[in-house]
Order: sequence, then structure tokens, then C-alpha cells
Amino acid sequence: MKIAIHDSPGSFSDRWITYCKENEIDFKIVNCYDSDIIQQLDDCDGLMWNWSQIHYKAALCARQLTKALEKKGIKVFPDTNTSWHFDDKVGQKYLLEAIGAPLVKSYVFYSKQEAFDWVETTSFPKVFKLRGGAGSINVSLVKTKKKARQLIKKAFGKGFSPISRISTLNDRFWIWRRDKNLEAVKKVLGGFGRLFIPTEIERFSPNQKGYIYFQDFVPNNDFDTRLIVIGNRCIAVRRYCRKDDFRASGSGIKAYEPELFDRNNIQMAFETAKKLKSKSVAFDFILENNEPKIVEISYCFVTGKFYDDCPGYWDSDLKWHDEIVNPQYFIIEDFLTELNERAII
Amino acid sequence: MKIAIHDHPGSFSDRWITYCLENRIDFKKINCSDTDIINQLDDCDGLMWNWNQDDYKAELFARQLVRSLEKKGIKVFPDTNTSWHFDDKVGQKYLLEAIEAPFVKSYVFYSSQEALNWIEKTSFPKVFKLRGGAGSTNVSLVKTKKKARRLIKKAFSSGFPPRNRMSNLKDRFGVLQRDKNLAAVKKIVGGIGRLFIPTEFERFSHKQKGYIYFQDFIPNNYYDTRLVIIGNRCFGCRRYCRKNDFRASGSGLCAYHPELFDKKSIQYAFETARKLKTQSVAFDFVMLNNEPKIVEISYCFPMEGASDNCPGYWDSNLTWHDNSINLQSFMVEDFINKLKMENKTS
Repeated sequence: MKIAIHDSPGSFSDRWITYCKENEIDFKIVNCYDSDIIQQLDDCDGLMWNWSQIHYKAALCARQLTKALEKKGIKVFPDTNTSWHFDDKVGQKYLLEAIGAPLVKSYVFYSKQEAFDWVETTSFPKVFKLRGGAGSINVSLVKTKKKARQLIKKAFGKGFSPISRISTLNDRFWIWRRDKNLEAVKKVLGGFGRLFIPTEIERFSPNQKGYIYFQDFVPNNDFDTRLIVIGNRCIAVRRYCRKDDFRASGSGIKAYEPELFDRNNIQMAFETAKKLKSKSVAFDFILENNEPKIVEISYCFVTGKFYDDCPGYWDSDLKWHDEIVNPQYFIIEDFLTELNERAII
Repeated sequence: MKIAIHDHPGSFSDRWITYCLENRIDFKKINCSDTDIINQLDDCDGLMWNWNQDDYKAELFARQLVRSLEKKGIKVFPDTNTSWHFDDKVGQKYLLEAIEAPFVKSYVFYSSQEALNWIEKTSFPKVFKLRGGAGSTNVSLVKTKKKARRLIKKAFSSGFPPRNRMSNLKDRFGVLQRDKNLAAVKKIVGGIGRLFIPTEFERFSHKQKGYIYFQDFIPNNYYDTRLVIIGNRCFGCRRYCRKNDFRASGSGLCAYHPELFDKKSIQYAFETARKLKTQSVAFDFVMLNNEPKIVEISYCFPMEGASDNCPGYWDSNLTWHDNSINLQSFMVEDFINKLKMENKTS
């Protein structure tokens, strides 16, 4: 058995490669952007590729390549079930509604008039989001009809840049105030530079237009609950909101004590992951009338301390395991187990 | 049993609705872009929606909606297997290579340096294509390295508009030369107007950039062979190239006589459709050293004209059936039959 890994330093692939070396797993490094990638994988049983929203090239081809490889009988991480809705809140709205998951009520419109009509009949505040973007970028609170109308006009006019430079800079200021270190200062300076020089992602990503997406604003949530389900394990982080802000994702203020987490919520995460048939899924939960509701989902997340600091995980019987957490190892362990099972069959 | 049909006049839905009315199939008309579409389909077993490359809204959400409905247990036409690669030549390259279909060799690059390196060692001419576009729009012959370099530069800087207005106008002149009628003149006037006023599609579609796609040029093909597989039926149309042009798709110069069609191509079409698990798929074949090769595929096609003029079809045993043809009726017939079968087994 042999697997291929798309090597992208700083991504999950770093740990996958380490794991393969430590466990003497036969693997080869590939570049999924090569024109002959399908042939390159002829001698492989599986492919692991951690693409994310920062890889604009992946947005052009990752889902297509995954689908094609699945037809070829090659196992892929992330597979189609795990990844097709990644970084796509519109897709997630349809999917979570379709499987009857507890999603915070969301709305999408593809015509200006329909969106305008809806603004007249709904209540505010609402949360405006672009379909893509992580760490709360491209997310804002809309308190009035007037503001909503402005956004709608823009969505059906020139559209929104996939990355809001001002909002990125604001976030960096916030990190500076939180951390007060040299690293944060550097980031603020970088953010200033980025006001004038677009990143590669910006240059190659199209403006977001032709649709508008809103989500109900659920008040009185000073934190969200991020639950990551990988196979039979659930790891948890509570993320507190930024000061004077409703957004928790990307705040970096966190807590891990297992007692903080509601068992119903963990149960719900396991059940939803099962319905989605996903190999790895991170849920962002908030509470609405004491009921956990999903804000969004994502197959991937940051590598490193943030999740490594989790003191353990729950299994699907909700039994706590006081063990070292390495989500990337969990992913490759499950991937290899399934490949081995397939080989036996 | 009840189905939903996204009603879009001028699309396949016209004939699907007629079929349902004639055959007393319970159906309701819906609008897939409604925000509560998932709930609206609660009382339906299936959804039929003919979205295509001219519908910029569908591009934003059709695939996502289809996958979600499949998760809900609602059958969809076109389903994911049929449609995920629609209007996406890059996706088709991966897919057809993966299933080892007889495919004209294609190349895709996501960095200008890799593309530039490749042109130093390949031969010309090659065919340049954007991943989307029907009727040979966004397709051109690249005869020299210099021209290829220019295209690469553009692909990795400003990019290409999804519709080439100038080439669109040229095509309309071609239609005028062919048809010499008032409708063709009107189209020219419209085409000139469109040089200055973008369509809604253009306003909401984004530029194609960050990748470049080429395909081998196969000489000595004065026509292509379009074969459409719907279930157990194959329909054939030979499309001749435009005058002094290598492109057949969109020329409107068609022939249908069953003797014109090579049995091997029909066999390949059935085999490939089976591997793809498609409900409907049109193949464009050209010949390379007497072997049929696929140029591209598509689940849908223009409704009138070419497809209605076929005098019959082949079944998968390659037996010819001399029947009148209505491809859209075949689609809805297959769809309803599958639903009935599934209802019986469940």
C-alpha cells in the first residue's frame, strides 16, 4: 500500500509526512497542480491534500480532482463528502437544511429585488457573510434595513473583494491590543502594506457578487463552541468573543476544560458528522434558547498549539480520553486504517 | 409520487412540463433560487432543473443544491454524476483521464512558469480553451509559441472574460454567410451592440484566470461526431466545421443519416456513459488515426434543431430504432421510471 501526499509546508502535510516516516508508511510527495497528476497517482492507493481557502489554485481544481480520483478508485483526504461544502456557507446552508441539522437560520438571495423584498419583512440585526473566508473575515453585523440595502446594492453591483483589507487590518490591531508583542506589531505593519498591495489570493480570486447571504443574529453568546469530529473522536475548544464584538472565530481567546462542554452538543456533533459522512469536520456552535445551533462547518483548521492544547477527546459513547491530541495524526491514522480495511476486502 | 420542475421558458422544462401534463404525472413548478427551496421540496420525490452555462445564478449554487438534495434523498436531474463536470473542461480532463476514456490529450497549468516551461518542449499547433463556454466560444487555435506565451501571460494577469465579444460577433457573421436571412442580420446588429453593452451574464461572471488549458490539435477532422446518450439510447449528429475553421461545435452544419456514424464511436459513448453513471451526456468525438477520441462532454444541449432532427437512435446493442425523437421526453421518462422503481423497492 502506498499513499501520495501533496506537500505544502505549514499545512497538515508536515505532520502527515512525519507520521509516515515514524511509522514506515510507503508514501511519495506529489504536486496536485501538475498537469499529469492523474497518471502520477497510478501507483498509489490514496492521496492526502490539505487545501484551504488560502490556496486560490485549489479553488480552481481541488474538488474536481478529488471527484475524478474517487472515480478512479483512489481514496482521497479530504474526500468529496468531507470537502465539497468547505469555505462555502451557501453550500452549507443547503446541506445542513437538507439533513435536518440544527443550523442557525440562514437566507440566500440571487436577485436584488428578492433580497430587497425580504429586508422589508424581516427583523434586524442580522449577520452578513460572504460565502467564503475563515476567522470571521467577511462577516459583519447588520443593524438596520438601510445598511442591509447598501450591502444588497453592492452584492448586485461591483461585488465584494474576497478579502476585506480594512477588516483584516482592524483584526490585526485587535491582536496587537490583545498580545502586545513584536509579532503583533509586525502584523499591523504588514496589514498597512496590504491596504495598497493585493495578495496573490486577491489577484486571482474573483469579487463575490450575484448573491447575498445573511444569517440570524443570535444574541447573548459570549463564546462559541468549536467541536471537531475526526472519526470516533471529538475535541473541543471554547472560543470567547473579541471585546465588544459578536465574533468568536479568530479571537484566539480560548478554554479547554472538558467540564465546559455540554454532552448534548457533543452528541449532536457526532450525529451530524455521521450524516455528512465526513472524515473530519469542525462545527462552530452557539446557543439559541439553550439549544446548540451550528453557525458553520469546516473540514480543516489551524495546525499547532490551538488544538494540540486540548487535554483529550470524547469518543462517540461520550467517554472522555485523557490523551495527547494531534488532529493531523488522527486524520492519517483513520485514512490508513480505511485503506488497509479496503485492501483486506 | 410527485416531482418538482424548475420552470424556465426556453429550457428543457417546457417539454418536461408538457410530458407531465400529457402523462398525468403529479408535478409542481418551483424556483430553485428561492431561499427556502429545501423546505419547498419536502413533499417531492424528485427535482428536474435544466441549468446551463448561460445561467450565472446556477453557477453560484446549482451543484451545491443538487448534492444537498441527494443527501436529503431527493432524486435530481441532472444528478451530481451527470452535472459536476458540466461546462468545466478542466474537471472533464481529470475525470476522463481517471476513467481511462479515449480523450484528446489535454494540459492544464496553474502557474505561468510551468506553462512557459511546457511550451518550450511541446509542439504546435495546440488548441487553447477556457474551461467554460459552449458552441466553440472561448476556443482558438494556437499556431506558435509566441501566441501561446501571450495567452499564458494574460491567463496569469488580467485573465479572459468568460465571453469573447469579438469572437461572438465573428461567429454571427459566419451565421449570416451561411443562412443569409433577416434573423442572421438581426443577430449581427445585436452582436455589435454587445461589443459595448455587457450582458447580465458578463456582469455577474468573473474573469477566467489563474489557470491555462490546452488540448492537442487533431488535424484532418472536417467534422465532429456528437453522440448523446440518454439511458439506453444513443443519438448521432455529424457537425461539419465552419468554412476555413477547425471548429465544428456551433457551426449549425449537421447531418444525421445513420450510415454516417462509426459503430466504434457509439460503443465508446455507451461504455463511457456507463462509467460516468450519467443520466444524459453528449460526447464530441474527433478521429485520431482512425480512433475516436472525446474532445469534451456536456449533459445538456440546444433543445430544438440538431437533436430533434435525428431520425432515430441506437440502443446499447447497437440496434437502430427508426423512431421520432424528443430527447427531453426521454429524460423525464427515465427519471419517472427510476423514481417508480425506487418507490417499489423501498
